[in-house]
Amino acid sequence: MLVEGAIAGESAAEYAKKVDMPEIDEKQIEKLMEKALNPLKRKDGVKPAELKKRIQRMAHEKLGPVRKREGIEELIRFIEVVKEKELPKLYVSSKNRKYNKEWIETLELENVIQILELSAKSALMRTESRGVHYRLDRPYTDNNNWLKEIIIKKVNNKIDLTTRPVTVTKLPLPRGVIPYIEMMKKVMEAHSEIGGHH
Amino acid sequence: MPQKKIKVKMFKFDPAVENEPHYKVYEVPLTEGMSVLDILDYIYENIDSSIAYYDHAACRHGLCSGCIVVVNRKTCLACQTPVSGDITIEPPSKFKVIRDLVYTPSQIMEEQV
Repeated sequence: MLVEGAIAGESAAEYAKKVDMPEIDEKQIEKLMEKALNPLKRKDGVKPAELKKRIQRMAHEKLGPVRKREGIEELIRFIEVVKEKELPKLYVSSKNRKYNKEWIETLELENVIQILELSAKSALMRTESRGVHYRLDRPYTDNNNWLKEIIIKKVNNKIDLTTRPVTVTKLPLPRGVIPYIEMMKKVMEAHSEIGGHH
Repeated sequence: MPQKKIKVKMFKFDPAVENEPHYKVYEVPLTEGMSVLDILDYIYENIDSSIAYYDHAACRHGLCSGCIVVVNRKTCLACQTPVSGDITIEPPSKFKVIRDLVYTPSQIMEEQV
């Protein structure tokens, strides 16, 4: 690993020598600085720790391994409200930028919400159950329609979800629609020393 | 049975705005199995979100030794130290404090920087 790191470093330096520096968009920097520093300037608003707790609770309840359509939709509505009304009001009580846990959490929460939104929207799109995605309203693995990967793209500042077929190399893919719970029982039996009687 | 409450006396110091450190006392409801790190989390989440303690990359399993603190004058790992009564929490070195319980770990680290 160390050798690879050294090689990567050397070739990065080699590359950097050859290329021109891209022009820095000062306006963009200003905008990002303002966004990052605003929570330090606000005197009151939404507390990061409190919002984080609520997001965690909602994600756990609505997007745990066992989920259903209504719950996921509820979570998506919750995310919309958080994005619109709460993230812009986050405030940090200590104004010191050194080792400021609350500030770190504030900056992280925007990413947390983004990842959660993408997960929720893909979970809603996958109208079957597979692995740790067990949809109570679709309790079967649908190999006829869902041997697919979901691709998420940002198009015109909006989330765009599409699918593409999985890549097949050697192993043939399973076919048919299989009830999820029965399949899980079979998998457990096959992989367990005590016949899946856990 | 009413929940047991403990007094947590914590070292507070912000070298950017203060000349010298002081101590602040927080009252925390104690539940069984709480560690010193859990106590700090409780204070951060419910009482005073301005406190600084090593947390952002803490392993919480006693391996990374990032959460090293001095509890009742004994050096320990906050995540591995159970709490049963009143405690005083201080940083391992009061001379190299960045803020509250967060400090510059060692001479070697300083030299590297």
